[in-house]
Amino acid sequence: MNERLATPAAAAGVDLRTIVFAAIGIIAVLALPFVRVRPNRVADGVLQLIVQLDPPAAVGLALIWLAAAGCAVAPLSAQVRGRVTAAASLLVPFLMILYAGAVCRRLGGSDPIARISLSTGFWITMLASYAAFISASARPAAGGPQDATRPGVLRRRSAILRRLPAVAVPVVLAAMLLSGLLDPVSVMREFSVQKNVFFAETGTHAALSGAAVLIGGVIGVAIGVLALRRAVFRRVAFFIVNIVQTIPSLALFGLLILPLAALSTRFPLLHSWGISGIGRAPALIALSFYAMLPIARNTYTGLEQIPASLRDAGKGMGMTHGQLLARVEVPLALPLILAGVRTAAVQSVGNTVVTALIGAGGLGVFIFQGLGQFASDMILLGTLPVIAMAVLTDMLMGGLVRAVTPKPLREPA
Amino acid sequence: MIRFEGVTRVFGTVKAVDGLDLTVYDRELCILVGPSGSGKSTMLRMINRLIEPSEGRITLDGNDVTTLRPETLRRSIGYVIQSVGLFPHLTVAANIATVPELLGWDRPRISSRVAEMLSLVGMEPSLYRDRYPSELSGGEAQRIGVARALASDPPVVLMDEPFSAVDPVNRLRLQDEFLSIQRELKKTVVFVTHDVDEAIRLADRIAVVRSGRLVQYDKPEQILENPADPFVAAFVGADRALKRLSRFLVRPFVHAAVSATINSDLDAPRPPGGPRYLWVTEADGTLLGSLDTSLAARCGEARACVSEENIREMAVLPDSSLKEALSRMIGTSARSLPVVDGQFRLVGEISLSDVEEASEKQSREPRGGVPAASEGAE
Repeated sequence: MNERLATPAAAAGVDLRTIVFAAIGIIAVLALPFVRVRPNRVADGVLQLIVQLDPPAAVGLALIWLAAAGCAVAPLSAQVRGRVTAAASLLVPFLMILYAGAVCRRLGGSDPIARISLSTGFWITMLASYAAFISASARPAAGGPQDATRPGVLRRRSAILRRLPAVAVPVVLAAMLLSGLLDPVSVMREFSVQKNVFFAETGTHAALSGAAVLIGGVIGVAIGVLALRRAVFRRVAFFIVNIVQTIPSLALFGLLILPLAALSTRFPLLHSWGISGIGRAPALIALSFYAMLPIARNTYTGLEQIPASLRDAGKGMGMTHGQLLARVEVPLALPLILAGVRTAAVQSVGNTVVTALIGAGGLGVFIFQGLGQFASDMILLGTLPVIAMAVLTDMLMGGLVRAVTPKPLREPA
Repeated sequence: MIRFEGVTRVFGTVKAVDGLDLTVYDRELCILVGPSGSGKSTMLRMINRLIEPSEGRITLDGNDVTTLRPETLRRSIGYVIQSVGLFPHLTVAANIATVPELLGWDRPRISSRVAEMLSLVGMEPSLYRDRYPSELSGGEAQRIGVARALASDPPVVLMDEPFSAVDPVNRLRLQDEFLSIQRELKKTVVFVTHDVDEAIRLADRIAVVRSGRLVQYDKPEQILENPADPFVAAFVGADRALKRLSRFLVRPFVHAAVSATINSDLDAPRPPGGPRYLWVTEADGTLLGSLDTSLAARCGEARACVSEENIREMAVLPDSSLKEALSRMIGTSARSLPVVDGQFRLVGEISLSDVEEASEKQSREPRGGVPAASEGAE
């Protein structure tokens, strides 16, 4: 660690970043509106500062920031500074979320139509805390003597600490959602009104994007494998898939309506399966197309990057096609193929939002309804779970990619 | 015994191999040598059916190779390639275990075989078995490549330019190590190279290939002595007489050296007409230098005249090649060289006339397929 470098002389420098973040944090607490209170969901609201609602709480939060800033100026070692900053930047958002729940309950708990939403003060505080925490746990850049003073405290044992905000924030949020602490917050109000629809649409959303990745995956892998064997096929297939990728999703739905509607009227059987110009069929087709490209491309690249000498060696030692595939090609290409699936899945979660426009359902329903009704809470009700779903998918797939990567080919953690 | 019978292979309109008749004898190291594009790799790869002949047939111990399943055939033939082709996601042990695993050996047998193979190629099993190919040097990787090819103890081993990608110093070492392994295991080896020196160093028999045809097939000495045509003569090089010397060891030409021990008999009176130079040694025989007796008279004390410079450049080992001996004679302007053992103790001497005699003696049987240790070994 850096204790040796963090001599008092070096530490006497001022940790400018922490001061800036603390200043932003203090301004957010004292001068920016914390909540917006509206008598109903479409009405204009009144902005409220924490200072107005609860002066001691505001002062308390400001003092935490002040402590971090104080340490950044005081002649302390980088280690101490880093610890204080990290602690402050975890404590502030934690208290803030707790407090938000309490405030909302107090202001709107009784009135079911009233809507209370979190405002700039809350969000800016979150941002400042996050930035301060990252700055406190970041590795100091190599070079100047000044860098040695930067809080590199969390550098070594930071594996856990660095992941802490990523884990802690969702955990705290989930706990609060479940405990009902945040119920009075406007989004939650919206949620409780639409509960059944919400779960149904979330399920549809997950099913649609999941099915699209599955179909796109199967076809994409097939294209990738075939592209490796036949150059002509590769050019044609990637040309088509690339073109499709450039068509905006909304336009693609439009393009699909006509042929599918025609098919559906021509063949009643298809119609009875629920295939028609609008709805889930065109949505699934379009989404599968979008999922196909990253998977096909990565499958092709993953297989193509395997040196010919490995195939030659494997074949020459008497491996059958199947053994070569199972022992050499799949282990070496799988990480890249799954990285393609990861991209496709995250994109798919986002793209599925648009399918609400052609009646396929999904969380986009809330977003477009909210847009139509000018109800921002409804938009959030659709957006937040989409973001959560995308982040979760990304994390899960990231873990999977790492798990299937052979040890010597892994990048160090 | 591997036999090519009228084998032709056509790629498009090009005859890569054209009517090849060739017999590779059991337990011999047969080297296919020729310029690049001469079809030698194609010949090699037809033996384990990575390429099928367009015409003719190839037999292994009398059986047409096409009667076997290609996989079965290949598992009974070791295979080493230039780019090594170690599987990067598998440990050294797993790489070596490839063919035994395909053959369904049980774990303990595979495990002990892997250790045996690592020892065979001079790599400490406990140190290397769990490493990955990315953690090996080029030379180490190629040793593992050889170990992998030998793991199931196949009677036949195919080697496609196995040492070409290694730097020259390591190449010589790999060649020496491989030779000693081959001396021990006596596999039937078909080895492809474009490097004539490598072929001469290693081969029991050389097949010179040009444009898909076999131009000459003989022992290295014969090819050097009697090139079949101007192409072979040019291909083996104008220095083929020297190359031929590289096939002879110093050992059979060593004769007793005239020497004196530094403390006891250095100043002893010498009969006139004796040799002008003598080798000077310690009491235990360690070579110290040389003495020009004609100058000794002028030095007050003979030991002051002992010349120690050059002596390291002059000394050769019994296992050095005559080519090396000749080179050292030229380099040090000496007509005879001291021959020393591994501890630098004088065991005899060899003179220019011995080398001349060797190169004149066309019919002399050189050491059968056992070339010299790497040049410059001391």
